[in-house]
Amino acid sequence: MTTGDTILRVQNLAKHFPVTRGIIFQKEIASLKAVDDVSFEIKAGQTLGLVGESGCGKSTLARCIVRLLEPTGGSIEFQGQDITRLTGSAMRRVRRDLVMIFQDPMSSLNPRMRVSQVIGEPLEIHEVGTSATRKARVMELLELVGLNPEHYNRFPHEFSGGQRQRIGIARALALEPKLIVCDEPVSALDVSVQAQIINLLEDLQAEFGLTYLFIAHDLDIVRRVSDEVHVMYLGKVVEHGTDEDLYEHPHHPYSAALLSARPEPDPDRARARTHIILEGDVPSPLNPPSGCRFRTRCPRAQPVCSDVQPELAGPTTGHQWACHYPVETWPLARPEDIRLPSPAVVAPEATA
Amino acid sequence: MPLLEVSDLHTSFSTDDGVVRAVDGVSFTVDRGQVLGIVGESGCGKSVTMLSIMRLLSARQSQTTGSVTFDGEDLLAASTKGMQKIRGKEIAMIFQDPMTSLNPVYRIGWQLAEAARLHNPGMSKAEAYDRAAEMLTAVGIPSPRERLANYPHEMSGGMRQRVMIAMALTNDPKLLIADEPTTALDVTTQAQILELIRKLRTEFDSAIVFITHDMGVVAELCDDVVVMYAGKVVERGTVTELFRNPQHPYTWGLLGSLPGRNLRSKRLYSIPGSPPSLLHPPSGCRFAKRCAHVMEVCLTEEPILGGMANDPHLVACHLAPEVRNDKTNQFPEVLA
Repeated sequence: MTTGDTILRVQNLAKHFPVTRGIIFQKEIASLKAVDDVSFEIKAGQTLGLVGESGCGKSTLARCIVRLLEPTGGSIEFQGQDITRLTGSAMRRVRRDLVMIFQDPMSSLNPRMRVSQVIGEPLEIHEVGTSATRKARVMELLELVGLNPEHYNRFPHEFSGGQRQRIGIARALALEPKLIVCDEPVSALDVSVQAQIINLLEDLQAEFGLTYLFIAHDLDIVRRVSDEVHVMYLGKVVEHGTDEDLYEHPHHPYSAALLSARPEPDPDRARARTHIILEGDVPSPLNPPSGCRFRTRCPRAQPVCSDVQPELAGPTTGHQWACHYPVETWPLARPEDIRLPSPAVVAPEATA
Repeated sequence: MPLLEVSDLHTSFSTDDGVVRAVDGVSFTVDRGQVLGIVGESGCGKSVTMLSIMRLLSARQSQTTGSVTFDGEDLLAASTKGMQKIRGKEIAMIFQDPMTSLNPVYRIGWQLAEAARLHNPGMSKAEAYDRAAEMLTAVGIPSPRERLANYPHEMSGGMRQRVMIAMALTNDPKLLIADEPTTALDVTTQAQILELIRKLRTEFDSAIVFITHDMGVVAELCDDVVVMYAGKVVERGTVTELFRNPQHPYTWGLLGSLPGRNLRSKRLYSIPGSPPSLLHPPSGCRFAKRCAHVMEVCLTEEPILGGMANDPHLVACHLAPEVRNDKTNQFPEVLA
């Protein structure tokens, strides 16, 4: 596998959770479509960012990819191998190359295990080396993530939040993986510690040629680390593109609103900027709106949006959006500009 | 005369391991109608400062000294009864997590009406519910009459935070203290709440103290900013001054570590190490251990918050003004 080859290909991935009623005679009354028809590819050595608000399905997607959850439909191809239905020892082999870092470093480390055991466990499971070489490897990993190797015998509670996240990263690196799925790795940390962890992840990527699937709700952090960004809303990707394309020229009204909602750490620009304030809350994924899922909050919604579900399309395969009435000009001069000038008479086919 | 004047506030907690000085000599003022931002990382004492001002800390476990003057009255000397009259009427507070600060077993309407009736003994029940509905309308909750019958769990996070704001503003407080009110919310909901606070600020003409760790939110909303580190104020100034010409190395680090501000830099600037323990704070400047510009004097002598005469921009740092005004120091990413 060299840089530039596709390492992970996700096609039409879906995860539906059944909603049941009754205790003995359970009856499925509905299904919650947490992830619905998501496709993307990651090239080796790159970072794919996934953004969206809570409940949009980004963590479910991550868990499906590392097979902590069983996908309902679609396929996951990792290093040319279909891993969607792999089990047992075949899946265990895949897990050497496909690992995950979790959001909360406290709840993802066993409080009763010493750091050496936490980091050494993957080596033991995969029977790598002897106990002496494993110990040396754990020391090396601790040093690599910027922790003192002398803290080998400490427990997780003796570390700060940032240090715990470093332990999580060391554990993930133990087996020299190819792809790391990072599920909100810095959300629980303070800004200065966030920067330390982001720099560490970037350094490790440069050193070992790692590939990241980076999930976060902070748009600035995702832009910082990613080569390509996917925006999710209610289980679907609504727009994706390179960080430059997406952040400078968002076409989907939801991406545009998300970008305008992010607080800008510059008082002059923050006050001069046009804010698009979305109304209401994200609808329940149990009963998502018909047609375009964003239409209930969309300032550009037209009758056709409730009938026809827009498909991802765009000028290139690199930047696509799923919208009948995409935003053409950016930045907007006034908040009202996001609205369509008059009831659109254009058929959606003509604008697509 | 400023609305709120805090000077030399110290709050310490007695623990089994010793005395933790969570707030150590904090001073600032808030004028009428002003929005003051207090920023700092977790554990820097920003919330404890506000809890001390409101006298919400247990006297058995904590000691507070210094002076807090609100509208001419010394809050630290006020009686328990006197404080009860001030809390919720003169000074209102919004907390980070609206789920734990609303009572889960009472309806929204009951809780809002309670806030109104507590401070207006003559108010009838019907009038209080009218006021509650009126407040829900003011914070942009649709069909307020029906919403009064809801329990907190029936509402979304953004909605609950709106209810908290409505409750805080029920008695037209002169000062509103908001402790990380948007931290638990999604970015689009956060934008809604910030927009609401901006709107209500002009409508109700309250002064606001906004506690946050998000520099972006500060830039969006605040007039003045206080930067706290390890229980002390390290820098204070207007929002434009602080972002354009930050003077303290800690502020440089905070601004340098923001990914949104430093798109072109190769690496994010990160402050090495972690904050000191407040159980045994280091002598001298508390930031010295993590500071790239540390000098000998920093390790022994504590810097005092000061500045040029007539300049509202204050900083607690031993560095010479030339070094502090040097843009290559202020924005280390320029060098990268």
